[in-house]
Amino acid sequence: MDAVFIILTGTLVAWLCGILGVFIVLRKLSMLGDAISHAVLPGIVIAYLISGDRSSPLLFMGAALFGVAVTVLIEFLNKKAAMQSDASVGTSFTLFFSIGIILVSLLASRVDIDADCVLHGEIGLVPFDRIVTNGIDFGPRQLWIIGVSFIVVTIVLIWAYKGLYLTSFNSEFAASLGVGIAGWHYLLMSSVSLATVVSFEAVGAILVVGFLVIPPASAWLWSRRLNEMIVLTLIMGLVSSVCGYYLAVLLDSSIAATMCVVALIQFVISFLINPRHGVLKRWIYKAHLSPHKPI
Amino acid sequence: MSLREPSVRYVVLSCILLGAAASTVGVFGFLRKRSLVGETVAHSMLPGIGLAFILSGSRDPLFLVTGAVITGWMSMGFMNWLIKKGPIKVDLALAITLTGFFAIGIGLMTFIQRGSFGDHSGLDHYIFGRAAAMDPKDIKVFGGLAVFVFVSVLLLFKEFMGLCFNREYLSVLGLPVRFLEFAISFLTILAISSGIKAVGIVLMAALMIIPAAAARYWTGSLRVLVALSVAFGVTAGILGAYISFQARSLPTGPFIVIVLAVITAVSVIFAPERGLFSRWSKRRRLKRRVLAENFVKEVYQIVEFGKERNRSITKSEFLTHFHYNTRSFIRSLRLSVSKGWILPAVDGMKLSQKGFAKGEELNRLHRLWEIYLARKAQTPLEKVHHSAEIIEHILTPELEAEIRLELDLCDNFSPQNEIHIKA
Repeated sequence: MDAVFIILTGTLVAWLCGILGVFIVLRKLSMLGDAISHAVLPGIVIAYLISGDRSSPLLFMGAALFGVAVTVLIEFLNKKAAMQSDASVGTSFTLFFSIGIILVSLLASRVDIDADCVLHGEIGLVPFDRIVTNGIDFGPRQLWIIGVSFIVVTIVLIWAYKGLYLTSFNSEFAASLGVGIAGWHYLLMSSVSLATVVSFEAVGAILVVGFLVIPPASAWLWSRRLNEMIVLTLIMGLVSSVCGYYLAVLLDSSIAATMCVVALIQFVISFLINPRHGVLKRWIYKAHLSPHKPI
Repeated sequence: MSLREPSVRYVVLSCILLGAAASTVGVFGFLRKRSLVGETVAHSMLPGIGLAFILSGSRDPLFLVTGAVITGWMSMGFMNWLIKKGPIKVDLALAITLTGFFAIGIGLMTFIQRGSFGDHSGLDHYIFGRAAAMDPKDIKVFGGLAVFVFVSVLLLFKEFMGLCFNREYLSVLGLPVRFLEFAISFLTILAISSGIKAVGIVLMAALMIIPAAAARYWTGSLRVLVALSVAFGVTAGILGAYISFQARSLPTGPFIVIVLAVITAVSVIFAPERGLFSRWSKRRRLKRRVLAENFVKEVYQIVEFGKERNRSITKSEFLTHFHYNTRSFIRSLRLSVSKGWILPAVDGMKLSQKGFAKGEELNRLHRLWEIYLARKAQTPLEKVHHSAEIIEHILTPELEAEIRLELDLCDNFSPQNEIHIKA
């Protein structure tokens, strides 16, 4: 039963991050996603410290605040202070992450997180922390939080589908139609910060990025349409969660890390054999290359 | 702690060296707009450290660093392979490689923690860094690496400079461009690996990116840029070591980043020319000058129209010709008076000698530009006024002479009646 709960939590994390990641990947904002997931750490720690509760709404607000703050800082350094974009990303999120790490180390005794949790989360402990009211066991708390967040994010995405779709594929056209690009951008970024906080306890602040970009990237290689890409992302997320769990059991290693590794393996396979731009296809073409065969 | 203790002295020295090495190599990464590659490579060193420990069974820094360099190198290769062989863009390749390799590393680290691989204490220092925990052997390895990187970069300085600014020229000169690119990548990896114990793999890249980014605000010359970056990197290294000895249980990397962030903030705000403060005050000065100039020009137009230079004008007379609200009127008037262009008179204001000359000059430049646009750029007449309103404030005497030459106007020509401007 514990295995089911862990796999279910892993799958939901992969789905939650995956459906947002689809838009991150399409908008070529992968490193910004990386920056945000690092940068929400101080928000999480401060909110833990103030509320003393791991499922308080303060946590989400704190993290969303820091997630948006880092995007604003990056934008500010880039546009107002004329710093080149890669350096402004690198400077901003390392600063936020450092503040978070210092807070974690200083307050280790007072808040319930440590460096290990930041690095790879504690998905293995998910089944032990349950919601029990009036003697009735409602199941793992984390599972509920992530599940509810997944539903909320899905509803938001369905509502925002058209706007995100337009601004992801053709932002000039969207602007000419009078669609506010910045609004959709910040909506997406705050959803990413939300997803990071929710997944933080399960998979940690750094591996979240893996769930955010790797399955959508693999799905992108196979698909021609946005809905295909979303469905494939969900399938890849499920597979990496199941295989990752058993790999971790086999090797006695960190579950979140092995889930991420399985996602990476999926990506490499997709990269090699996908029918559109697969590397293998080109090798075969090259091997058969003769003057008579068109490429 | 004191610098008299040899162990402390060596740790500080080692931090100075790695700060210098990382920031010099970082400048080239920064100039080639590849700052985030360092981030990815640094994270990708974790599996190397884990593997080296599993295979060798020892915590000898030489083995660990070798492992780190190998997987760092592999990550760079993987990234380039993704970019070259498929539709993956740089940004996505960076993120995938970073998290993929890091996940493998975390998996290996957990595997080591739970398995029976002997004494693995201290391996976690490599993640967030712990300068104070470096022993003499660590210092020899990491310090040696830093010295090697620093010296190599200084020796190849000119070539690397060419690589950043004019790659084609280098290959025309017959220099081995591909070897140089290999060298710069290799030195980047070595520089990162030299800091994995003191700064930690997660934040090591910051020591490469931030000094260069901060130094860029102060200078436009590459030599000065490198020198300043080294100064910033070394400062951060020393302070990081100091904090690490003060609070031995805390990781060093984050503190180094905070020191660097403070340096960056100061640079972003106060640097001359490129800094926010200087650009803001420059803009403010320009705005005030334009306000005053417009005001003088308009007063000039009123007195010139009546052909009475010394006539004084009242506020209400001025406002019948031009639209100003009271606040902007007072502001413009005050600015013009402070420039000495407008003098207060008994019943209002009048132009000073200097103000008259200024007004004459602005009108002349305005009309000159209108004629230029109309004649040389075939701009429709109704559009020339708008552009001239802006240009009149920034035309220098040299440019004026050039435009006159272009238009074949003699020196004493006054374009007074060529196109009559609407006031």
